[in-house]
Amino acid sequence: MTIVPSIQRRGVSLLPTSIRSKPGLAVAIAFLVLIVVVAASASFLPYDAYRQDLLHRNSPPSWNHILGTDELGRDMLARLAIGARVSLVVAVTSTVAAVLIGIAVGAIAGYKRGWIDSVCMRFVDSMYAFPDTLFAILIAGVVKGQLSQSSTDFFSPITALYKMSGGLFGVFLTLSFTSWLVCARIVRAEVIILRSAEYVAAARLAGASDLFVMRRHILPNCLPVIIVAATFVVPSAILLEAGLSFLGVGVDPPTPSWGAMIASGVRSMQSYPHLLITPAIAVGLTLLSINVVGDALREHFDPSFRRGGEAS
Amino acid sequence: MFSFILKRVLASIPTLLVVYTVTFAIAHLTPGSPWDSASANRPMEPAAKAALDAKYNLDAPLHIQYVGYLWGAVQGDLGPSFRDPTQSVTDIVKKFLPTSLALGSMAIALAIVMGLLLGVLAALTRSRALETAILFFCTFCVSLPTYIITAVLIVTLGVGLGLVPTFGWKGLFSTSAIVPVVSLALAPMAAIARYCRNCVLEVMHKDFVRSARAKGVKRGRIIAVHILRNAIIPVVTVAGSYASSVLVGSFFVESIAGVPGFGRYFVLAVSARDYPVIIATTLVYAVIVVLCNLLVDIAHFIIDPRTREDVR
Amino acid sequence: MLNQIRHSADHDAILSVENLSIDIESKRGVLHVVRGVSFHVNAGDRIGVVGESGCGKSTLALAIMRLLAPGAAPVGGSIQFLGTDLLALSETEMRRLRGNEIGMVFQDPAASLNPMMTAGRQVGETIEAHKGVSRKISASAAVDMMRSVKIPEPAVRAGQYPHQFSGGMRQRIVIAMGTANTPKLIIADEPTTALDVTVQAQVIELLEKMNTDTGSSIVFISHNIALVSEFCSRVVVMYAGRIVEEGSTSDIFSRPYHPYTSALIKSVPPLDERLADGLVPIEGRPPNLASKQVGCAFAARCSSKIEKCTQSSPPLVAMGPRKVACWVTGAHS
Repeated sequence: MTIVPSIQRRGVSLLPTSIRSKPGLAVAIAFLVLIVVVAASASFLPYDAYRQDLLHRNSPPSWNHILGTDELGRDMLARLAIGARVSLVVAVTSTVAAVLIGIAVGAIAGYKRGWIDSVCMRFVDSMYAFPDTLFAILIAGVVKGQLSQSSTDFFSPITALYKMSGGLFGVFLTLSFTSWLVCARIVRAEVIILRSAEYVAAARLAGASDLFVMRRHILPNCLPVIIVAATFVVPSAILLEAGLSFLGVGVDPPTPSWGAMIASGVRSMQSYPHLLITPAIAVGLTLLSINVVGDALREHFDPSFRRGGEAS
Repeated sequence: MFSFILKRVLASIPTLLVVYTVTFAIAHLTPGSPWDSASANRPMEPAAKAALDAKYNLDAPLHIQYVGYLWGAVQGDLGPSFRDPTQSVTDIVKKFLPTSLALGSMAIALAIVMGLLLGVLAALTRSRALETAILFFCTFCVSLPTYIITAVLIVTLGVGLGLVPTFGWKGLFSTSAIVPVVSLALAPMAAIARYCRNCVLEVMHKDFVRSARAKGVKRGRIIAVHILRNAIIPVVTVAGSYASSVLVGSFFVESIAGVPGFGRYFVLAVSARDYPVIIATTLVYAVIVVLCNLLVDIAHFIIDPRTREDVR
Repeated sequence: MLNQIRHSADHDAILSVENLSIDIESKRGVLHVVRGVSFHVNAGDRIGVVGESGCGKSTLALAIMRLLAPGAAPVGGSIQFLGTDLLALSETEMRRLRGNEIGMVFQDPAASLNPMMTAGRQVGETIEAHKGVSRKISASAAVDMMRSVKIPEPAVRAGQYPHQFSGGMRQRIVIAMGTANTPKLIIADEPTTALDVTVQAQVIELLEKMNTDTGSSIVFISHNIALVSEFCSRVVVMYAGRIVEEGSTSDIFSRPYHPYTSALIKSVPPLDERLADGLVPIEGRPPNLASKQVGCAFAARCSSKIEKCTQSSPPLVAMGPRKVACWVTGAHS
């Protein structure tokens, strides 16, 4: 007798990243766009994030203040919006900086090999022994300390920049120093693979200089891997910034930051829960969306990360 | 095996030296004197400060301080705490570190066990719904900062339901441990689960699993012996890297939940420029990281016969 | 005349595949990888299945063992083994046959062995799975099995891991693993492809011995027709999921009827003569398996085709002891 079973597909679908087929991804992207829009338009909102209204402190959501006010009477929604700007700006800029540093170190180490490679990787491996947060706190302490009271002329333009940004610059420096390690490792691994390709050998035989080979052949091919690295760095940067602000070593008050808002929310979470819940939800949803988008990007760029088996 | 361990231990000494050097540099780059916080309440005469500096060698050139402290540390003398000179750092470590280690060990154990279970379940279940649910849960857990989870848990379980105390620590096996342990464990658990699922899915389709089926081996045995034993190798690596960050407890969790642990102390030390505590903490953490890496390597050695250098 | 001949109900046949078709789901749509294949294997036979990559021979082998990957499934036909239709069995019943009555030997021994288990354990596992004996007994039986496949110092080697063996030794372990319970039917899917030529000869010798000593039938799948001509008594030639020719080895290789078979034979460069005109490849490419073809699958590449070839697919027709599926050279004139 014959059997005609239905052909069953196993595993999470391995479809190309077409948004139509993944509603979750579409929602995540939409949310991120919303956050960006809110952050960009923060200055145009009817409420000032810095204006204190001590008569209406800690008030829960109302018509006047859609998300309520904080412990100094400032409008929560406005503060969230500026906080969004802070988080996004800091995360994106420090990711870019970390990636650039990582590419520089990783590419040189991976391409030259030899003692340069050993020294660099020894250093990177040792730095890995620092827990992220601990190192960030250390660096933040130094950066804030030096920049908020600098004495030498050399540092003064940087100090001015620091003061202007309300402490953001310090956080940017801290995050860049902490995050470049991951990028360096990933880029180095990729460069080592790429440099043994035949077209590289051909180019060098034809007389191309190292710099040329790097620029034309190796670095462009590193792009997928770099994007994968960035998808790891961005959420961790946001987390770190929030953590630093939470501990008080991030941005300076009164600049709003989601982390700082969470910190004050925790202090009064028993009496005024909305102070904690609002920024917590904001942070949570943003990170969730970034992770979903990051997953999709990784799935697209890094075949070894794909889940499920292909019907073969 | 013994020579293997010895080699790894020796290789980690340069790493620890680098960590020490970097920490030393950072600690001394932070402006301000260690006596600032002590003198905030009781203003000190400059002469008094100078005397203290002399007593603790702080007026000596930096390189002498570097070697001096290291020499003392190797002998077990980590110096006195600057913030509270009556306590030696070694005492502080002995007092607070065990709590953090206990908390961390419980958390990582929970994370590994639950992570493996969830990962295998997600990979092997025929229900797409269950798999998607588990995956979403994992992405969710990875996205929320730990301290938010802690805060939320305290509010819901402690304040709302009254199941756990909202502050304080009564030991590892009391209800006060539930919130810190669970909040610390969630993110690593989610990461381990996702990784485990990927590995199981990959191994499931390998040829040798097909060979086992062709031999007529029962499904349960195939899963337990053939699939798991191979899938677990990368998972061990991931677990190891999370272990080191979890084992040292977490500054945030300890602060919010009121756990008298090492992490909380560290934050206080940074703001107080308490050099010995800062350096000692960092060194302790680095040693823990190195130990975790060593454990991972040993685990690899035991599980995977290919890592043992055998002659064919 | 055109005779649609059902293969004779030979009471010696231990395996009868009847009109089997297998489809595979892929990104490009449904692929018809095996189309209406029928053949039988008698006790003690050594049957070769040849064809180029992608002709469906491995899929056929996996289907017999019911080890097809998810996404692939039989869509018609039956597989009779000792009177039972394998396609109708439950998974538990099928499991009892695998490694017990039907054994499989895979290609690529490096990938087919679990790197975390010792060789002895992997061979012993087959025995344990079916004979319900203790570890000790299966362990010593495994050593015996390894000795019979000519692994030197089997007692020592049984405790070693696959990465500590050479390629030829690994293949022997794979053979030992698949045949530990002296199955009545051994399916060997390209068992020599990943090996050196000298080692290939040893493996063939081993399989030969198994066949003569225990009377196990062997289905030998390979794209190496030279090996097949050495080892097998009967040959089945497959192209694009169909059987195009079947017969005794000596017959087929001395007088191939189907154009594909002769092209295949011609494409193998001889070792003992100089190549007068260079290599003779088969022109064109294999057909797209996603389409249900009209006409003979080989027509596009055939040098002897006639008009009828593109209009309908020739059936497999008996010509004496031979079977051919070809309008031009088949049974009619």
